[in-house]
Amino acid sequence: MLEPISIDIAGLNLQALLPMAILTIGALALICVDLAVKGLNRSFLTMITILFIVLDFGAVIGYKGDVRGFFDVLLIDGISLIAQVIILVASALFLPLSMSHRHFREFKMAEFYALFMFMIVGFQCMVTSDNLILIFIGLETSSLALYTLIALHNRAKAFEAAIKYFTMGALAAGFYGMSALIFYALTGSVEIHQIEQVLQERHFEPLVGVLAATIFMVAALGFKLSLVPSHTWTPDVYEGSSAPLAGYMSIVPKIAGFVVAMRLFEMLVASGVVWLEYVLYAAVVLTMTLANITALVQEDVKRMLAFSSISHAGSMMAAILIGTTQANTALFVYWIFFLFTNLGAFTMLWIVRHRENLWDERYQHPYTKFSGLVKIMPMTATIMGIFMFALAGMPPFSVFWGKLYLISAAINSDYIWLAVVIALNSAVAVYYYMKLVVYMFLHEPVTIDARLYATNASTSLKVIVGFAAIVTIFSIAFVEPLLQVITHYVASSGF
Amino acid sequence: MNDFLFIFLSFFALLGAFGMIVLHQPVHSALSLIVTLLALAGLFALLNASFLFAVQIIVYAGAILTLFIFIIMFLNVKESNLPKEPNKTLYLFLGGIVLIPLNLLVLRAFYAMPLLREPLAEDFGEIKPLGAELFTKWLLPFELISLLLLVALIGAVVFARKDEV
Amino acid sequence: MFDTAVIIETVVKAVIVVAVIAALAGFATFIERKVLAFMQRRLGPMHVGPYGLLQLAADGIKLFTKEDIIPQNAIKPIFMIAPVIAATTAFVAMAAVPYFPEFTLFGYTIHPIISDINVALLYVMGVASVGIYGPLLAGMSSANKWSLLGAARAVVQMLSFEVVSGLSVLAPIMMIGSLSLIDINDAQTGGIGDWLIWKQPLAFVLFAIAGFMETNRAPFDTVEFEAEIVAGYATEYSGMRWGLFFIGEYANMITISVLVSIIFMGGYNAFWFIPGGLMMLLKVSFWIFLFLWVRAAWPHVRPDQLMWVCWKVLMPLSVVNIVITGFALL
Repeated sequence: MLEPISIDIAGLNLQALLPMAILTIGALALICVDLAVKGLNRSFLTMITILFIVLDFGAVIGYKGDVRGFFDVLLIDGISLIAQVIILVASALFLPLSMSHRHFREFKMAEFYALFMFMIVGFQCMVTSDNLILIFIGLETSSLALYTLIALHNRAKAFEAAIKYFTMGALAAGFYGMSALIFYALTGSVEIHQIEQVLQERHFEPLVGVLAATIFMVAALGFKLSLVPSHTWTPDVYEGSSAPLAGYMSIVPKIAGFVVAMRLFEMLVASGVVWLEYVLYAAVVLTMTLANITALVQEDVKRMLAFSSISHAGSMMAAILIGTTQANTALFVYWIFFLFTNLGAFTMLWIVRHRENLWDERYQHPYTKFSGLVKIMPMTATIMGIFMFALAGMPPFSVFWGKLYLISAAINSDYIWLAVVIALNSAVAVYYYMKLVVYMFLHEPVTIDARLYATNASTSLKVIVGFAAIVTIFSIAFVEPLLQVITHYVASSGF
Repeated sequence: MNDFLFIFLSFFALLGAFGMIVLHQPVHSALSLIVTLLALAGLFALLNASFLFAVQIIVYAGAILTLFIFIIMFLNVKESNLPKEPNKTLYLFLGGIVLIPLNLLVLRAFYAMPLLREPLAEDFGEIKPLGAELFTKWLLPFELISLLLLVALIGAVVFARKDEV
Repeated sequence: MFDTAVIIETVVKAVIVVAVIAALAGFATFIERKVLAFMQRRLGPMHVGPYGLLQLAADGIKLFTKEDIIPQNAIKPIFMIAPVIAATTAFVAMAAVPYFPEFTLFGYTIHPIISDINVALLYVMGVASVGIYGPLLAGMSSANKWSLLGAARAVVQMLSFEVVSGLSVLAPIMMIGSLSLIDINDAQTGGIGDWLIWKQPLAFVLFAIAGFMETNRAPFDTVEFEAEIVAGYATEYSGMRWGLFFIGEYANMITISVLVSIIFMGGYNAFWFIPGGLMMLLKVSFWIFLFLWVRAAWPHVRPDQLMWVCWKVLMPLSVVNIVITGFALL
């Protein structure tokens, strides 16, 4: 007989698990209900999923200082809270895009929504932990669900995208495992705060070990965050997946990855070891610049947006490189604004989606598709134009504030060159965003059939676009309170 | 004796891994992967990690690779369906050379590890302390893995029944 | 770390185990024919030697001298190595199985187990599960449809029943708290009332059923059922390679018998006036006899029925058994 092990239930702090538990139960319930009742309605499934996300949201915002739970595996602090809020809001906003005018097979399946919820659980586990193993499992759960969701779109390109993403993800998982292994061997722990403690006691010796672990980790997280040179999957995967998922992918997996990167890399940058900083510096500058230059020559709007999101991710890594409270706040503010702008842009692509590639054999959304759109559908063209202006970082639209704050953070901590690179890249980016605006407003239309552009429009899509547009346009009104709240949370958890 | 066993097992682990990449037929690749996995199980046994040793044999060699081969068998891959791989050896060779500095880095990192010199616990690798650890401190990651497998399962089922919808 | 005496002792034990089990496996084929014959009111082999005893030797000579045929389209190296895998894994699995209580010979205490590792049970089941590659590779490399069908059936059934045998044996492990077969044996020292079969009747039945399946015995011999798929994965084999498959199968039978005896039926503990070693022999003989008896008495089932029973009856039952055991232990 084995002796029983006694555990103090109160010490487990089970509330810390509540947000993940809600969505897990929701997903399991959805599958069971689907088993009993066949042919559940698309809007019912969407609404029930959003309901669970809202419940989860309620469980998340009951934050009272840093809490550890479940044998200290879970860590709920300020940045995990903000990240969870971003993840949940983005999920709740992207999900209604399932209720498009056209019916897609994947949105009729209860499994789609169950997998969607499981994916959110994975992301939440990633951000609410500083344990490398839990982070890894969260990462894999969410990625696996995401691969499946992409492939469910049931187009040849969607399968291609899913397989590509899966293969790259498997490679990244290998890198992650290698990195965590070296960290463990160096310090005897897989918890980031303990790794930090041990490494600092030992003055980051043996340096070669820390360097190897860092390189592997940059490569692993680089896949998720689509940093150069591991960004090659991004445009193909965005192109292959449906527009809502592509937009979702440009926001949510990345914020989860940024939180992990923030926890891990900031302690490395703070080490004062120049090497480690150089590695990150190179990744940041390369990501921003190369992605921007490649975006210039794209012929497809979706691919252009993919490259632009890589470039935006590059500026976010710059915030992590700078590592001050201001920079971290800038990261979250930037990403919140980017969330709404990208939500709008990708929803617009979803609205104008047409079954056949009418404009170009190869691409679904070539620039020519949008030429003269202002004469056919002035409203659509204007809104799309606003999103493009916002993405280009033009004042007073949303992303501008994020960029401004980021650059000022860079200057405040004496990263002058970094600030210059970010500014120059924003200038380059203006060109390709404006290219679309020029096509929409200054070119002659190829067709005058307005119906071709609204085949997929439905009320819920229009509501989402309207919401995104309002947030984008009037962002100036809530930049200030947002900054205050986020600064409070970021500073309170010591980042 | 220990050194001899280590070299023996490592040789087979590397040989299997090498064959897995070089061989052209998927079935042959899978078979040489079995060699690697069994050799790895032996290496675990050499490290006194008896539970890992048994699990490696049951799960990897016994179940997963069987399914791999089983599925390859049912796919019935013909010679003409296999991708042509011209210059494969050359690429492998060049890739190997490119990876040498990285491998050296990792190797040096491993040699520099302070943990290597610490004594092991008395009951290291036995099933009881492992299980106790897994079901207290690591319970949440452990349960999350079941969620991960559930996700994979749902995904597989969704794809498998595709044509009925 | 390893001293020479231990190495020599281990090698000697290994040789003895392989020799004895191989001989017993051969002998078991003779017993099988005799027992089946008696149950069908025949005499069985009678002509070679007294009471047909030398039939065994005659069969052996025939197998050894028969031409080793390799079909033209077969994948030669895999075809040749498959039976070796089947036989080897059957013997390797025995490394962690204790047969008798320890005894003293010429002042030297001998433990009749090749290696007492603390995860013995897992090890035996693991190696047995690797044995699946024998049928699988044989069937795939033979370039014969019956062989392929046999291999497919073998994989599906063995993998499924490994789940049942693993889950069913979990309940006794939970009660004893060790995976070492010696510990399991030592937990049942107190006579027949201490046998785990009384505490875990369901686990015992499930494990026995899974054992019948994993050794491809009737009524679950769908892998090589003559009326449906000729001889399954072994269709193209002849001579010694075919013989290796059979030695492997009978060796597996002996292993399963030993395992059931140790886990559920008190192992090699002495009983009343009968010493432990003899007890073990009696139990194993009884189980071998049971294997034959079942073969003579029961018709075989279809593969789909087998899978149905496995996943929809046996697997849930074993899970329920674990849950009940867990609550009882609390």
